[in-house]
Amino acid sequence: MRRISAILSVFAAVLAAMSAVSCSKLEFSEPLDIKVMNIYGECKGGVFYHSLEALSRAVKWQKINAIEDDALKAYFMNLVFLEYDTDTLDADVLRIGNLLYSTGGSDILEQGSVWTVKTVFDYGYDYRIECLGNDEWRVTMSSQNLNSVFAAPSVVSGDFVIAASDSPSYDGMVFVFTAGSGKIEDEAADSEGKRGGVSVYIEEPVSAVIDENGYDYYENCVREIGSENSNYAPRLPVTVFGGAMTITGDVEGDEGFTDVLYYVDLSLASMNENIVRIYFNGVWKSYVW
Amino acid sequence: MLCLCLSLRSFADNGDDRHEVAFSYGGIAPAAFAYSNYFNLDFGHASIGHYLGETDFVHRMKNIGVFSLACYYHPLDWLAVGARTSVTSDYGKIMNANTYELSRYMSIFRAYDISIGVKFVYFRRPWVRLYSEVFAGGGALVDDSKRYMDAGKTVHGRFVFQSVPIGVSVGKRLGCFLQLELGTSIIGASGGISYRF
Repeated sequence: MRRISAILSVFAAVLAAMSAVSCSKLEFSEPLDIKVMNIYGECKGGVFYHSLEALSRAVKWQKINAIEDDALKAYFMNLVFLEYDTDTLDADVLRIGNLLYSTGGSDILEQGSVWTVKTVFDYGYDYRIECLGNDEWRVTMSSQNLNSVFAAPSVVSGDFVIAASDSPSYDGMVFVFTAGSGKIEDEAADSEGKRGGVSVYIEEPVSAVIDENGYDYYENCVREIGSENSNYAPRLPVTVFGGAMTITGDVEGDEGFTDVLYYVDLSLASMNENIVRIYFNGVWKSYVW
Repeated sequence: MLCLCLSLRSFADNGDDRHEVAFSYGGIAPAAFAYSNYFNLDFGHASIGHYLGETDFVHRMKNIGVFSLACYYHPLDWLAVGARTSVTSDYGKIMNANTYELSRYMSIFRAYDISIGVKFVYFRRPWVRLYSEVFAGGGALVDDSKRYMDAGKTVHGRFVFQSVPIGVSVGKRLGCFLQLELGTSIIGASGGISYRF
């Protein structure tokens, strides 16, 4: 009797296990969602981060440098630039981390002042800041688009008017992209002669903040934020919220391709909540991530 | 497999029922999970041009479970030696990203395993047996997704290890069985029918 009950209990356990076993199934979100999210994510990281980082460091440094109280100045310099080496190499060159600013001895907060930026490690990085006055600058830049989700090399370029917001914080200074456009495109045509690109146009002023101070992207470069896995395309440390933009995609050399256009509404997003509404092909969809 | 078993029969004593054939179905196939980790189910990220231009999307992957066929010879009452083959496959639904039109179901991958091993029957009654098994061998995983991506098939070899920690079979000549499975072919359980001759 004991043996029989033992066998039956084994049988019951196995049957229970069997009921949990079925054809394993993996389901995914709608294909269009994935495509749109990846395109927006690439634009957000590639265009906004690369267009803002150099300006963000420069403006913070200049504003802190203008503090007359030495102790307070030292405090904020230490707070904001803790992980970066900041040096005035000579009267005309300022180094913040691995960005080298040719200042020409001018103050970037003064209207008409122009700074050009290069990186210590050369990877085709060109960045120009021109002060328009009233805490507003024109930024034109181009560089290799590192930390991309795409395997083939791509380049990012931007031409924006960016203003410093009224935020009271030096550390988490918020900037506003008031106008302009940026683009990420394949560096070269592929084996089929196709060359793709996505462009971003500012429709309503978009706010952005560099949200991971202390990480010197231009030192650690590609695919090293948080992971050593070369297949992992990490998130660039920028938060984008407010306003609206248009993203267009086109492929040169592909005659059958119809240009795509997405309207991205970030009015519901904030620094802490990434709510993105995207309009494509007559349909509005919300994404939260 | 069947021919091998039938040919073995000619060497056995008649009426001893020392040969056994078993057909079973079970899951879960670890190959499905291992494979999906490196199969890119999203659009190809080779380049921006490629990504924008691609419309086909693997919308859903479903594993069919694992089908196994095993053949045993019992030289002793408590011991059997045998061979086992297992087959599993994942099927996906290909969908156009813009129109959501269903293109076709297609095989994403197929896995074929062949192994040899032993079975220990440690509890024997005329109608009920409890047993454990250990098998080892090799297998092939055929990547059919490459066909869909215009790159031909790719075949990966793999080592196969399968164990049955405990199984129960009910029946004399024609029986059914249920067994726990742990290994590279199946993790979970399988059940089926067997025939001794």
